[in-house]
Amino acid sequence: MGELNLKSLKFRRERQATWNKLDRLVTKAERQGLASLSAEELTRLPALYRATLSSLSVARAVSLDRNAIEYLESLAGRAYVQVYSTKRGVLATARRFLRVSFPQSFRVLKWHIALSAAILLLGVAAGFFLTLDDMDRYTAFMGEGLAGDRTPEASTEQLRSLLYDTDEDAADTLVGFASFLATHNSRVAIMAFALGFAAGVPTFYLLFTNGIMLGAFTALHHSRGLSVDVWGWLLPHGITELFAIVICGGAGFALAQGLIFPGRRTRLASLAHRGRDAAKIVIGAVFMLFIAGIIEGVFRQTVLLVPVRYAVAIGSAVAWFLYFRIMGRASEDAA
Amino acid sequence: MRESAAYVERYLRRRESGAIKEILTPEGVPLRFTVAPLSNRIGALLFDLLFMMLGFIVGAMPGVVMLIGGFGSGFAIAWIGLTFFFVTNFYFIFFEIRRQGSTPGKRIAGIKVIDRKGGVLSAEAIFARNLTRQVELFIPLTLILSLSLMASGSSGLMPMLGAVWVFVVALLPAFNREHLRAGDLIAGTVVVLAPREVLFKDLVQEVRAEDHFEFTQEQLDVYGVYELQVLEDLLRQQDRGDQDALEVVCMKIREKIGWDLVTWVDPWRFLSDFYAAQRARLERGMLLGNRKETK
Repeated sequence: MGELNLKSLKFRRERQATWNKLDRLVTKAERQGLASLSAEELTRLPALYRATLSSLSVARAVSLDRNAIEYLESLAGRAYVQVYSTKRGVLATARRFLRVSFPQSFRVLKWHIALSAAILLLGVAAGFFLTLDDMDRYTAFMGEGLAGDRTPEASTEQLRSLLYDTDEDAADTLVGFASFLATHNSRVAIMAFALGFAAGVPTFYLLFTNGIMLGAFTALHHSRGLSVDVWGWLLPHGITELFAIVICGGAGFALAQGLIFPGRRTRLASLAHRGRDAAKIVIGAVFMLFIAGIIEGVFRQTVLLVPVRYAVAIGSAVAWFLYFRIMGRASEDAA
Repeated sequence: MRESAAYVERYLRRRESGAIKEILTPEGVPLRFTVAPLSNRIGALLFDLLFMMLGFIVGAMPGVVMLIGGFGSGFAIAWIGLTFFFVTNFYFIFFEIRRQGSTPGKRIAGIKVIDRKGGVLSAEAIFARNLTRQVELFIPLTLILSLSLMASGSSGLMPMLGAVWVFVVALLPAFNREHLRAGDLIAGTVVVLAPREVLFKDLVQEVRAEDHFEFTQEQLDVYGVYELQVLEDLLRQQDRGDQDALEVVCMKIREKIGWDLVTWVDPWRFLSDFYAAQRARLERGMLLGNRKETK
């Protein structure tokens, strides 16, 4: 063997100890998570990773030992994933997300969100005036299921009592909250985003039809002189809820833009670039829908005074405005 | 004899399948990953769906107990609904953030999510690739259910077009080389195999110092790197007791390099000596800048 004098063998003998150390660390991190590494191990990890990476480059140049090269490829790959990954835990990620990332991404995509809001408002206006013009359109716009007892055939008194309904007990208001949350709104919101992948056409459709429904609903009450009451019923949670839906629509349009107008990037890179910001605000919007759900489920049934209802509506609008304007500015400047 | 040769062939082909995804690490060293085949992806998904179901059952337990015990049915149903919402939407996000791009199912299937450009796998990317699951996975499932329910087919053109679109999105991974689904496109990620290779002993170490076979330069120049590594794979298969394959290959090589065919040699000893000599020869060539790929 002496006369063979293989460089690759010598090289391997010198470096193998490093590889074994890294292997042990990475295996531990994979099994029990990065948090299980001690402070000392955590500082050694990047150094060992870089040493192994350099071993890999050398091995590719001098060695023909396929097993060794494949081992190094896999070890370097596994270590790479551990070294270059989000070090924050799930809770810390969530905290940072609400404080910084969500409002920042919102500001990045504000024009997309404005477009989305415009389409929703257009839908509301169309639904409102078309329904006022001819009440028969109401059922066509709303569909049978969503309208419930609120039909043009119902008396004004019936409609009014539905707006100030209190005879549900506390547990059942929570049912309303949960089912509303899990079934309809979050679904619509996530969908409005994900369907942006279809060049934004379904997003447009979803926003516009939801606007029309809202318009038709308020038109019915307007025709009975219940305008003030119906907005007072809708807006305390509606501000947050509609805002969330509009945000998701904006996210959908951002995706569509990335797909249709990639600019100087390749289409794939542009989609990925837009997609990350867009996904962030959708997660944030789902969080907003939770808040809307709590307001709707708990608050609406217990507070019946119209001025208080409006105060809550205005308060939530101001709160969101300030949140998106101020939060996360400091670290934006730093970056 | 013929069967063992076929076995060797099959083994080699297996090693070469699968698209390679090369990413450049921040250190400037390219790392090669193998794109995860669809079979692994589907396997991982099935396991994850199973775990989601188990998670939902366990999570919903308090609600079910309340429902049976008769304390506030409203609250119980709300609890179950919320559990369902959280499990379906946050199962993947939670594990991929916590486990660096892996979920329990992915771990079992030996696959992993990485950033397509070699950067950090960020939380945003994980959000993006998993939010689209609603459209890619859950809508097609509901559509299949509802389509089979109303098989009479009174539906119009729009639902049909919608269904076609949704299925195109759902089947996207089957039609591109890197098996990207819509969520991967949006997030800029790719799913790769995460194999745990084992470092075996270097075969050269097993060559005895004295009494080994000697080969001339001409004999060693017959083969290239490809053949050398085929031989390495074969020698590492040794412990599986496939003596026939060794015999076949040993005979072939002796013919090819003009070795004496009459005297019997121990195929294991002959081949490992040949491997060591051949590797030394080719590695020396590499250092001088000529890499001989194949014969």
